[in-house]
Amino acid sequence: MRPLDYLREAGTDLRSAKLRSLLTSLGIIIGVGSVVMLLSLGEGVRDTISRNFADLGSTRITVSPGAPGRGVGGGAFAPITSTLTLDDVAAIRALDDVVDAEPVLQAVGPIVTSQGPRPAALTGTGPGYAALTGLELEAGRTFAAEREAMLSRAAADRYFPDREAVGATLTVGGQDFEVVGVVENLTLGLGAGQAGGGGAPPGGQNDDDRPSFQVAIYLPAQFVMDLVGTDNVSQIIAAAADPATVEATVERVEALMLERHGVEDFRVDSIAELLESFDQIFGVLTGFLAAIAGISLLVGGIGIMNIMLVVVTERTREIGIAKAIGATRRDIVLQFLAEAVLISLLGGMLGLLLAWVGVALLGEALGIEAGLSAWIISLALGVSIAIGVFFGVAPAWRAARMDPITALRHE
Amino acid sequence: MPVLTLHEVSKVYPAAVPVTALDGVSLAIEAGEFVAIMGASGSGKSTLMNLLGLLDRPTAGSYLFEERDVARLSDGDLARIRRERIGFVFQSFNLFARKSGLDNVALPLTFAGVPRNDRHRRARLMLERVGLSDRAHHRPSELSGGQQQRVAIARALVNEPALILADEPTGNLDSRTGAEILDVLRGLNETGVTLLVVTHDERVASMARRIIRLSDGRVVADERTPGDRPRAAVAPEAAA
Repeated sequence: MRPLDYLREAGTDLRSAKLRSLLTSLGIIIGVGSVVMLLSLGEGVRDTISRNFADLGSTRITVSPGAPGRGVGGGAFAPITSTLTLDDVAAIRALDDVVDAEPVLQAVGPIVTSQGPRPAALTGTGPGYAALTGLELEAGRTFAAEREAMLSRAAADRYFPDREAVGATLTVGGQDFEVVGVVENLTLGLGAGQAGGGGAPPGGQNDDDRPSFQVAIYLPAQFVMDLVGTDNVSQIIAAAADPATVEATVERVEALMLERHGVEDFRVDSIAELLESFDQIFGVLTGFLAAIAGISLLVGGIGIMNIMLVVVTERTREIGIAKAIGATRRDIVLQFLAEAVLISLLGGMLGLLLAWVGVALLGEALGIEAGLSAWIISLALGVSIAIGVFFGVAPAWRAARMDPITALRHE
Repeated sequence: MPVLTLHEVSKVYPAAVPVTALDGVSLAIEAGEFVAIMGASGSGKSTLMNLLGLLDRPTAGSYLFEERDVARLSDGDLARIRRERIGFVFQSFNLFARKSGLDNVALPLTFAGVPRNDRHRRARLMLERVGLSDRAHHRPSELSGGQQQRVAIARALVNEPALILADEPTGNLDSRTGAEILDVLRGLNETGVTLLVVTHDERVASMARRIIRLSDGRVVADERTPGDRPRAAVAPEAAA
């Protein structure tokens, strides 16, 4: 028999029992559909998050207090006390391959606005903060002088609901600060801030629904340090000059800090490293979920085998006739195999269609840019064919081994 | 040249008490013959038919098909010979219900790997030969019994075989349609097709030019019949 004829015969047989063929491939449809949907959505989430991290700056480097590994395992517990200083910041900033560095220090305390005293979260930092974190200035400018402050969009809406925040005054610890700029809200990487456009939260959230981390008041670091009475900052953020050599810059910062502190009481991370470990964890997670969904492929394959065994029994007489008029074992095996593969492949294609629709709808709902990538499509089709072959072999072999005389007598 | 030669062929089915279905059968069939094999049920004629059709192998004795020793051929070789040198006609037609008449006729060519256009052309010719060219695209369920048997005969002919084996070809047909089918078969024989009919119907056998009678797995008679005379003399009788 010619290769095309196997497919043609299988196609004729499938068309003669359309409903049964469709029901048989249902397991594969659901299996391929859910696996492809999970993998594609996972890939979409990863891409989106990577992109958002990249927005934050793939060149970003953070120096945090506490040694790597200390206090984790080994029975040695240690509190994390920051030993990072403003001099460290200046030294890091002075490195050739560092563009800028700023301290970060969080504090809470009362502030006074035109509406009276309010509790607030304060962030002590420097003029370069917005650029380093990739936060867009929505109004005004970044703060430069000692008596200037910058607000997040959420903070501006909360503390100055009635007026334009830029130009307003707020009082912290008895000192007056002029608000000179408003930056967009921080996001947690899923891109809600970006998707909403201009920092406005999506879905018309009102002020009180905002996560508190988005309500931020940025003040000069030295002032906040004096306010809480510390010589240390809680974190240093810096930007490497060249995205391609971030790792080398991380090492230089580590060497500099070690030289300055004498002990390794700090940790230097880069966004690139973070992204890598996130990628790994998320990859394992989606792979695991997809594997669970893949169980339905197994069930689908067994369904195909089951139906093919029924079909072989049903067609016993036809198999006998085919053998009598000259079909070889190979002809019979390949014909039934072609039918199993066709059912499975058909299921795979319908599953892809289902996944395509599902990914489009869910992606839209979750704000993720996701689609079916070429490798997922080819994987799905390849797996469908493999399932058809794997589960079709036993029925096909049973058909091929039939004795023609017995088969011809079958009613 | 003989189409086939059987020498002391036996077929024993293994069982607690082994069943000897054929017991030392020897016979030779020449090209162009029209032979009827007769016998009561259980006489071994189905077994003989299966052996001659290469669907089964003898337990003992030798069987030469077109001078090739069947014992030395693989299953694949036998399938190839069935497809290229033997045409089967069954009592219950044995057509594929899901295929059109044309596709049924073309099926042996499909197994032989003939390209699609070619096999359709040849299948159409065969349907013409059995007088059914206007029904090529009907399915078996849309055809009468006689028409179905014509399709089956066309299928048996399509590979231009050396031998046509017909197993009770009129058994499922009324006597008039049966006579028509026999006419078709006799017409084929007259164009040189070797024809072997298994039957228990004396009227069918009377059309043959040689009758082999089986009883208890043995050949009890092998005789030329009055039907075995010059072809010119047969034609008017067939027309009658």
